[in-house]
Amino acid sequence: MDRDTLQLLAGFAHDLRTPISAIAGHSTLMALGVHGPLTEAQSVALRRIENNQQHLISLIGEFLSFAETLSGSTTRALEACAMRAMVQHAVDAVGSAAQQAGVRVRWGEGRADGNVYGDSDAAVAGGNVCGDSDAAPGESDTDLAWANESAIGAVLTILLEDAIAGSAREQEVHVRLHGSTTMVHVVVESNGRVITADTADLVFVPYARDASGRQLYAANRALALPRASALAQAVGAEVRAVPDDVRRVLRLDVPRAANLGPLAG
Amino acid sequence: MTDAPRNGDAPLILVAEDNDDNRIIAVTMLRHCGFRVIAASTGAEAIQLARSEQPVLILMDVGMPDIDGWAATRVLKADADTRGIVVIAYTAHALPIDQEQASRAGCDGYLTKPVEPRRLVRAVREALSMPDLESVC
Repeated sequence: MDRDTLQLLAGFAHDLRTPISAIAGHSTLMALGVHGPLTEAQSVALRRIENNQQHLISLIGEFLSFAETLSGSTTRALEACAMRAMVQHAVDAVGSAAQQAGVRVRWGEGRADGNVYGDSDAAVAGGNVCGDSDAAPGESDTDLAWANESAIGAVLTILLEDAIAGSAREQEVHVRLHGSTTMVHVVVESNGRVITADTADLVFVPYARDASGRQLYAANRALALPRASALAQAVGAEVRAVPDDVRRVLRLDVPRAANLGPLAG
Repeated sequence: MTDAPRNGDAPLILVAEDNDDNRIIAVTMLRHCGFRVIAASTGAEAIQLARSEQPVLILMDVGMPDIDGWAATRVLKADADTRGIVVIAYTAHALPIDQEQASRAGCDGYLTKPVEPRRLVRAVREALSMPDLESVC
């Protein structure tokens, strides 16, 4: 998609917000009883209007974000990113969504071939999210990556939301942070639709479908993983889909900040 | 677009907005919450009403057809009779450069559209240092 096309689509999406916002504003006035009391049936219908209007606004917002990412119109300076803190922040940020979905998010640190998840049950804001930090003394500055905090934060949130959206109630999402000499990796595993070798690249295509025509994205998330991929690439990182027969596995690879020792684990 | 005051003691707000829906929503909500409200749909009308009616606050749309909100604000802030009026820019543009432009024009606040009606009232109350900010009205 060239820059002119993106600009056209972004402008169109922007213009769509004006009438949708008007619908929202008039609906709110009615819901507040500004024009008089509503019957129960009218209130129910109004809530449905408001829900759909919110849905439209979120779709447009997602599209605008995607177009903005692809257009490269925003300059994102590279900087040292403390990945452990950023993962914790992202886990906290999706806390209420996880709670609403009845999904438990756990995170910890460990090797790529291990299963070292955090097992602390210390609840944090949001209810169902458990935090963990098994970092040994002196390891606190070994998680520094070289990217852009805002972009990586958005990518982490998208990956966690993807995992939550694809999980059933009572299931767990596992987030693991580990590193190699050159990269810091964040692995997000869930019980969502598994990614096969055939679909590993397709999941990053907007509105992707597999060979049999099945859509490869959760409802209303057609642009989420494509945006995460584009955002990561824009700051020198990469999101990969890891083929796995049992779990849905997505991994964020971020270059380590130079001249630091390897991440513990 | 003047309106008979509903409450003679209530603060007078000028809503300057060329979009009919946005103007109706803002005016209706502010009146519902007890403010006296007058409205303008062009920059020239906003300047004229500001001078004649002396509102305490102007909700100033940036993209009006004749004189835009920035220019109208500069005119009002350059005039000793109107420079004390609180001006809140009301715009669909959300980039940092737009906020800088609002500040340079002399705006006292900045609201990005779409503005949820209750948020609009809260912003007006905050700008006027009015209490009871948590209530709907």
